[in-house]
Amino acid sequence: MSPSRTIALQDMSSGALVPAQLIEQVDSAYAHRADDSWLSFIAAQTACAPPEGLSVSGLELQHAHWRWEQKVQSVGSLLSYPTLGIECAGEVQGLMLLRTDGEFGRLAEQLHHPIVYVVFLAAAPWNLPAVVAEPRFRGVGTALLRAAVEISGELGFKGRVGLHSLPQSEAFYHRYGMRCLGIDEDKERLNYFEMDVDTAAAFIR
Amino acid sequence: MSFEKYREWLARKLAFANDAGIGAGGTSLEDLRKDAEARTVTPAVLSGVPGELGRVVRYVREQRGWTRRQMADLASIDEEEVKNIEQSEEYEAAPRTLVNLAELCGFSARRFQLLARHIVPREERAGRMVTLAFAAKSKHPGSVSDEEFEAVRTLVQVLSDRTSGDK
Repeated sequence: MSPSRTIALQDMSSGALVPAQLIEQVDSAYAHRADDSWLSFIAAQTACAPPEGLSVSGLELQHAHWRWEQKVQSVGSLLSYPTLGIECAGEVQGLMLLRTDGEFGRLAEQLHHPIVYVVFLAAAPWNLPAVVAEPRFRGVGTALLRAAVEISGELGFKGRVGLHSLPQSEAFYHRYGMRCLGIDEDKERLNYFEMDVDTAAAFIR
Repeated sequence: MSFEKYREWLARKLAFANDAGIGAGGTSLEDLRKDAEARTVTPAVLSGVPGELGRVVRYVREQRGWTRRQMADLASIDEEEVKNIEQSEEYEAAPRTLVNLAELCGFSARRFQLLARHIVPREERAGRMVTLAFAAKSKHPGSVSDEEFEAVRTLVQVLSDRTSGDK
């Protein structure tokens, strides 16, 4: 088993912050396990009536069709493409695939400086308000973003991180001071966000 | 960071911003595959690794997908030794370290030890000897040119060639 360390998530049933494991390098078998439980959960949700106040279209999540196993297999065991996972209550609560090599900043003050690029980031469907009326855990995205910033620091990239935000996530990245540099046509027309050194330091403080 | 500290940090962050449903993406699986194939071991991986021995070790480590700790465990050596070999051209690794690393990487132990002493293998293949010397003389540790990268790849091949009887 790959190294892991204890982090926290908020269990929404009690409101308590409970221990969870951040796994620093997951393999395709682990990703397969996540696909199995995530996709069957989505299928079950789609089959029953949508929760009150949510339209069926809420289930048309951008990443509802993602297959993490394929993603992890695509990058093999390359060190420059680590996939991290968060495990809690016996389930995979979130996954993130990073590219740590060959990505460079776009913000003026860090133009051409190396960054960590978040290729994919997602929480389990039962943690998403778009899928369920009462999400199970909060903190998955925050913890994964922290992990990306920390890896950037360890690599000497000083916390610089870039990503393409899913439309529903833009407010979150804005809130933490990541700056939007506009839409990229070749990234499914998603907005690119970048975190500078100071913003990263404030985020993990 | 301790669990208590992490918990305190997360509570503050969740009070500041609700992270429910955040995600990132946009890369097609096809693009991801292409990029991964193209960079199986990239020149950028070797930048910041000054010596030829360090570059060879870093190359194999990347290729196999090992962290420094994993490599050290597999070779029954100290993680610090892997780090020193990769980061310092002057570091003198113990003979046992070199033998174990050579074994793990599938290298000729003799050639690997020669390389550790900055000795370019003298026998055969004039073309390759030139390349080895070139790799050894890289003067730009901050970046790796395509030529240097090719030299390291060739060096890995030469070290891996155990057919000529000198294990």
